[in-house]
Amino acid sequence: MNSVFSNPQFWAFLGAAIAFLIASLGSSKGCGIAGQAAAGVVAEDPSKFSSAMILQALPATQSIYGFVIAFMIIGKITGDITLQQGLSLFATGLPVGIVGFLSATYQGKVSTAGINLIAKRPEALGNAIIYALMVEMFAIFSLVVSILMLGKI
Amino acid sequence: MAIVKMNKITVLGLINERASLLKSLLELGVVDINEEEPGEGLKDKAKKPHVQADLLKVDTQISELARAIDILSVHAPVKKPFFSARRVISEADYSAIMEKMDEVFVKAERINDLEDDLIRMRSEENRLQALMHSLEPWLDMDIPLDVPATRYTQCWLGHVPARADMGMLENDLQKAFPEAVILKGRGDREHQYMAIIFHKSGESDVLPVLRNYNFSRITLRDVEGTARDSRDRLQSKLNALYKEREEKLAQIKELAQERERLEVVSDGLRMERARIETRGRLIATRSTFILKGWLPAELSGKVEELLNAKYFCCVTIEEPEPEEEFPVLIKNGPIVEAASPVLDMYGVPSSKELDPSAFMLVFYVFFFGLMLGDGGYGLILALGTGFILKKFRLEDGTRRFIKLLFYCGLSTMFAGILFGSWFGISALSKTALWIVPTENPELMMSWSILFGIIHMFTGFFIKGINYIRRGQIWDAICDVLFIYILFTGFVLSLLPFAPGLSVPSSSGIVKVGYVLFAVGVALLLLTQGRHSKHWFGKIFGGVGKLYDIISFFSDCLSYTRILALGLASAIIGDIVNNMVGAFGNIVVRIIAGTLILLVGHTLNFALNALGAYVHSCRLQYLEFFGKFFEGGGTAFKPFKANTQYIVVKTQTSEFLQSGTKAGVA
Repeated sequence: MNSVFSNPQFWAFLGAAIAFLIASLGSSKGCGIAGQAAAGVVAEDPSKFSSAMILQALPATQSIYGFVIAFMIIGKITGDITLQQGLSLFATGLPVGIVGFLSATYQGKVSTAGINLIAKRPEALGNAIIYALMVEMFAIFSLVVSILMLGKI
Repeated sequence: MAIVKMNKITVLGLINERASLLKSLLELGVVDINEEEPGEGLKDKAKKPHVQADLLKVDTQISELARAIDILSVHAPVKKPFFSARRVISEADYSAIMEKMDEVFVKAERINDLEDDLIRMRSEENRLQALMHSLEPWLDMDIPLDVPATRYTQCWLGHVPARADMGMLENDLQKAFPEAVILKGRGDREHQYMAIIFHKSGESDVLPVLRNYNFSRITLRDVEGTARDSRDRLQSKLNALYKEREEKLAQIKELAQERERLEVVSDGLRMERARIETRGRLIATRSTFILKGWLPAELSGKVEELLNAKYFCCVTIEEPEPEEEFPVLIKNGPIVEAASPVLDMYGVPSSKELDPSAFMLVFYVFFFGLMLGDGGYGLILALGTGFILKKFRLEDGTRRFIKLLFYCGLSTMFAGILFGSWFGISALSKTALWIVPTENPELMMSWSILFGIIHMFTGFFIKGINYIRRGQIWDAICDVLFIYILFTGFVLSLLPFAPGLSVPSSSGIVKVGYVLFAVGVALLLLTQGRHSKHWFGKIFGGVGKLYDIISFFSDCLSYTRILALGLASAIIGDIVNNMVGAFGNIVVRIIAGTLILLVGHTLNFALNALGAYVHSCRLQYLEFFGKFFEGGGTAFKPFKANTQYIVVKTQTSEFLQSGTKAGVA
């Protein structure tokens, strides 16, 4: 057991797993709830398909950010990394993973509200997108932080 | 290239010319008609006509035509090209069709009747099928089902639960009353169907047995003779129904040739509706009416000339008062018009401010390119949208949007050249003319923020121009020039912290930054309280303004999304390419590889293009417009033909086009 926790590769892989896994869980949840609302709105008015789809797709980006970081972490894993590097790579996965989860979940809720907004006022698509993008900003920051951390390892 | 100047127009005309004057105005399509209430003194002499009844009549007609058109598009669909514009028809063709409007209505009624018949047939079909289904258990029995009793016997139809033991039932029945016979029908998952025939005298003996076995009686509707006879009869009814439906459908398909005429009349009535509605908004006396509104200044001469030539009326054109707000129409040349999809989504600027379209378009397209960041994707986007622009005749709104995407495609290609990024192929990154963001993200981050600072400074610049246009030179100096000094100082003093630049904190430029920052703070503290009346506000008003530094800082960080989105698309493109290399076998690599490349890159392109589109929008709306945009204007909504299918080319509209540079949007 001890040997696993002192294994640098294990920590690095754990970091990659957290980055992708947690962020993607959030995106799945966000896109899921927004998609249900979108289907409801499109059932009433098929012409709103594309606007509803844009709003539904917004919470998908957190998963992409997690994917990017996971990939970059995996690229850094070699046979001879030290334990310190392994732990650093683990830490690198945390911002994008954890922030991504919450950001995607809440963005999904805001997107859902936005979809309901365009159901009543189709011309308000711009406003709906802006509200959802406010939440996205934190995921972007976490991606940037993770990237900057990776640059130092 | 700006917000169009508007003039006020007032027309005083005669009631008997009102209809045709409104028709001319509708064809011109450049006058935004105001709704006004008659003044106090005139209340009993002048009023607005009641048009509700007329509107209702037209609405009924329009919905009847709309239904007919819908029915045609269901039963006789025409394949429409993906991008389609309204048909243009000549005035002569148009009035020829409108004259025969009654004929068209007969056809529409015919189509609607046929559809009513079809709906009726559908419910009849359902009924017959349900009946046929109910006959199924009895098909093997050759007794007539419509004879419930003879002189001496009773015949009960019914079922027991499927799990009941039929042998026991028969035994018990024989014991209770031997003069009874059970005829078994078919069974399904839940029931076993049967007919029981017995002598009338035994009803009281039979009943308890049947009750023990949970027998329940059924009465069949609409049966004659045996089940088989009934089924055949129903089947032939159904066949007749199918045949009749084919005939009706064929008739509808035949009527589909009327589609164009239906569309024309429907649009004609829509214009009629607009005219009626407008008539209801004009104040009228017994023999005159008055119309007030706005129209573009450059067209006012022509409109006046036309109205005076054709009608006996008095037309007055006035310029608005210097402070008066007027409806906002943004008109731009063929290049800058592409900015309107983005601007329209945000809102209408005030009539007094500068039209930001041109500035915004430049930054929008540039940021989009950096965010998508892959030359190959840009090439595809530019080729695709360029083809659409060349090949199809588009409505104005669609054309502008496609044009915007075309510019974005070009800009993405440009970014691809800078970054050496083509379909994420890593070998090509050596061709980069500038930075490779995947290798040096810190430096790219600093550049993203720098582009953001330029963007925001442009916003302050526009704010300054707005001040100067109004003659508020002092405000321009305090709110723009001093802000420039402060923020420049702020940015320069933070240079040592900028990632990827490594500017030492002792270098001269940073020291200049400190000085500028201090000067800026001092200037703001001195001037920002100038609008307060109270001495307290005059002194401390500037302190609140210093908070802007924090929001400026967070705005700057917001531009790191340029780096983030650019990296995301580049890395995912690279991953897609790497996946193909993983296959050892050459045949598998070619087949699966092509598939992976196609799907992977399409997905990456779609997601990141969407991301670039919305995030570039956001940077305009919050970080850019937030600096100067006043908004609150009302959009110019001219009285014109809001048609769905056709555009009528009339002499009047031709007259307007001649001599002016371009039509009004």
